Amino acid sequence: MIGRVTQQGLQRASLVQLQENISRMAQLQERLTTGKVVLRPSDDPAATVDAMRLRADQRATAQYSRNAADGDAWLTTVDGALGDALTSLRRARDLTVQGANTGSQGPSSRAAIADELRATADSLLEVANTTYLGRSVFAGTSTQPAYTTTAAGTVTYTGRTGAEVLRQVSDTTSVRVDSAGSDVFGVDVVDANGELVRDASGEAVGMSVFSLLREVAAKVEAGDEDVSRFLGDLDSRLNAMLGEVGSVGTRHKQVLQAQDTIAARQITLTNQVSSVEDADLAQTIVDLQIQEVSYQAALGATSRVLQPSLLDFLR
Amino acid sequence: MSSFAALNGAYTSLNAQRIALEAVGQNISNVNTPGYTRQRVSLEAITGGTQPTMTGTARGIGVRVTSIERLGDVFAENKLRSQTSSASRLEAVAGSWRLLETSVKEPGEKGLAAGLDTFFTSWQDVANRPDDTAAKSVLLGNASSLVASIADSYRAAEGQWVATREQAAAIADDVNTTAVAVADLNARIRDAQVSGVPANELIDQRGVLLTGLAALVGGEVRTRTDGTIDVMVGGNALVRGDQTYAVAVHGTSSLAGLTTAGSVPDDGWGSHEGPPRLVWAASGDTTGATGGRLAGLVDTLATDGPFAGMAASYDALATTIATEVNALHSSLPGHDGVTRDFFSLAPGLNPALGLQVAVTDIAHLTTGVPGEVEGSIASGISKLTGARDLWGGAVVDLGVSTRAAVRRAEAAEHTRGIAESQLLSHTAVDLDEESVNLVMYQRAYEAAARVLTTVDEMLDTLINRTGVVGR
Repeated sequence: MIGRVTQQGLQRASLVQLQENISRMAQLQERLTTGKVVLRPSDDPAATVDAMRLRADQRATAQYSRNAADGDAWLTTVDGALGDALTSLRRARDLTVQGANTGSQGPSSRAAIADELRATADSLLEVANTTYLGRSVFAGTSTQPAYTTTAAGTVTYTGRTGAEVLRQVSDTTSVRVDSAGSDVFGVDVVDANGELVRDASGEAVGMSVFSLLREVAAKVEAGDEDVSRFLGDLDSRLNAMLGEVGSVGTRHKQVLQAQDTIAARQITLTNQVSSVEDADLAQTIVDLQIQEVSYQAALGATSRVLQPSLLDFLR
Repeated sequence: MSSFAALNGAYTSLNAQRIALEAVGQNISNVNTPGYTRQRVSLEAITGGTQPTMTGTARGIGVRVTSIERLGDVFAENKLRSQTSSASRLEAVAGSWRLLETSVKEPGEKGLAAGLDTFFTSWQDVANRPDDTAAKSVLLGNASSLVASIADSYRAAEGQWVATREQAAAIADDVNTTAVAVADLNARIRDAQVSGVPANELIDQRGVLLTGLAALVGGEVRTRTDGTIDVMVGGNALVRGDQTYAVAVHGTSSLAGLTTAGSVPDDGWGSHEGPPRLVWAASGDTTGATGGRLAGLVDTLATDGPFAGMAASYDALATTIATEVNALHSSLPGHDGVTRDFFSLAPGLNPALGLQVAVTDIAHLTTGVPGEVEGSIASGISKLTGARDLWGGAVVDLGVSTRAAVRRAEAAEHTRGIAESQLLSHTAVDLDEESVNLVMYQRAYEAAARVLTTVDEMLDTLINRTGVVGR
């Protein structure tokens, strides 16, 4: 006997419908108060995966941003140090050219040139041992300063060739942020006593820029006729430095570009997370209004349907 | 035929209409009583018992109440019970999934995914500054909090499993109590029917209990000729007449007991071993119940249920993270020349609970080539994705399963609602209808009274006024 409507049936049906109505209201209200559409994995499993992946990307990008800022600081330090080194080396070359004019110089002026050359060598050594946050920027992954002076006056390079300091700036790109000191400043070829190894004519076979300047100073002081033979070595050292400045500049640009990309990516990711997780406020408010109207209508209808019965009309 | 037969006829009518009015009154009184089934008085005309005479033919001499019928529908009741049993089972399963889902706290900043990301990105900071003690201390702090949150999450799943297990045992007690009440009503209904007393209200009470029983444990109801019913669960009787057969939940009462249970021994599980299951208390055999909340809870307690599944995911996560981080961390010796694991798994515990940070001193952290400020190992660890992928997959599975379980439960509840409204449409009291009946029987009562008056006046004419002509 389907279709027979009873008071109890009506009550149950009204209750169920009101319950459904108010639970939809509660859901919309939860969305509005939290501002999120996806609150539990079951709300939208696919969106949950997206949200989790995007949040992981956000954290990774924040880390890349820190890495790039650190790389920027390293490369700025290296760049500044190389600039100082170039200025010093150019001055040393001028002094060497001056010292080569043996005819016009007395012993005292040669001694002055030699002193300045040694001072330049010292300042270059200081530049070569530049540190950033306690780490020598020209020494690779070594814990020591890049160059240490031996008892014999030569220098020892402590950096390990091939051990680069890298900063990860994106999922796939790492940038080298240090500079190999041995390429820039050269290394001394020394014997067991720390003395420079010399060939049959008394010339050193391999010198760092520091030992080179000290050698020039010694020759100028001694009144060597042919100091200009060192100009070739000085020029090749200058070229090596210029090459390194170029390489550092390129990498610095790469890091700066990466920083821009990271900044843009952070904004994009924030937008994406928001579009996946966040509630559309306008739409939710409108939905809530509609739901409120239909809830009120349901309440009104229920109150009318439950009230009358034949008893009201029997006298 | 007696001159007074009509008086008696009017009297039977007055009597019958009064009883009918009482039945209407009973219906109206119980308009809101759960489980009440409306009653209707069946009337029957009394056939004439006299022989035809000179003055008239044989005719009926009144009305009588044959019975007070209960307008139930046994098929609608059975349908409601079977829908209730499957809806309750699915609701129990969906409830467990929902409970589990709230403990996962994903997606968001408080979940395990955030902890995993924080842990792995702090390795990048260490890779940037292998000589920086602050970065290393932060890393160890993040590692400890990750380990703690994996263990907490595992304990949350375990706690929910134990709570569900206790709930199942409590519901089994509830089933036994209800079964005893049904058996008791069975006995009273049988006695009432033997002595001819109406048992409609008792049957209604039993109906309510049976629907409750269906929600708890499912089962099939069979009616017997003496008015009693049997409740069969998985083919065996839970209630037979006035007898009941108790059920119980056997099996382990800890999640660890479930995961280490292994396969069934030859002589079967002991009452405190193996996966939780619903059994007959007397024999210890499983009941094979397929419906009701109890079956749903037992489902969720199984090895492939939500809680055990999630606990296994936490274990897998702990194992993966320990394996992949250790493989890299121990690939080179530390600064003091000793090769170390970063994580350790305590023996005798679940991986999720036994996971510990083995490196407690920042000097023992291996970041790269020993003796150098080098972060190749740290950088490699920061790029590991195995644990993160595993956790992402587990959350998605949880979301999909929860959604499916909730949808199934909603669909079943909808069907149950239809079955209930069908039953109510048949058995519930309609006030309008009762009002009409009220007027109908009232009018009939008035008319019967009028018949009585008319016959009375007729007899008055005969008795008092006959033979007084011309007096």
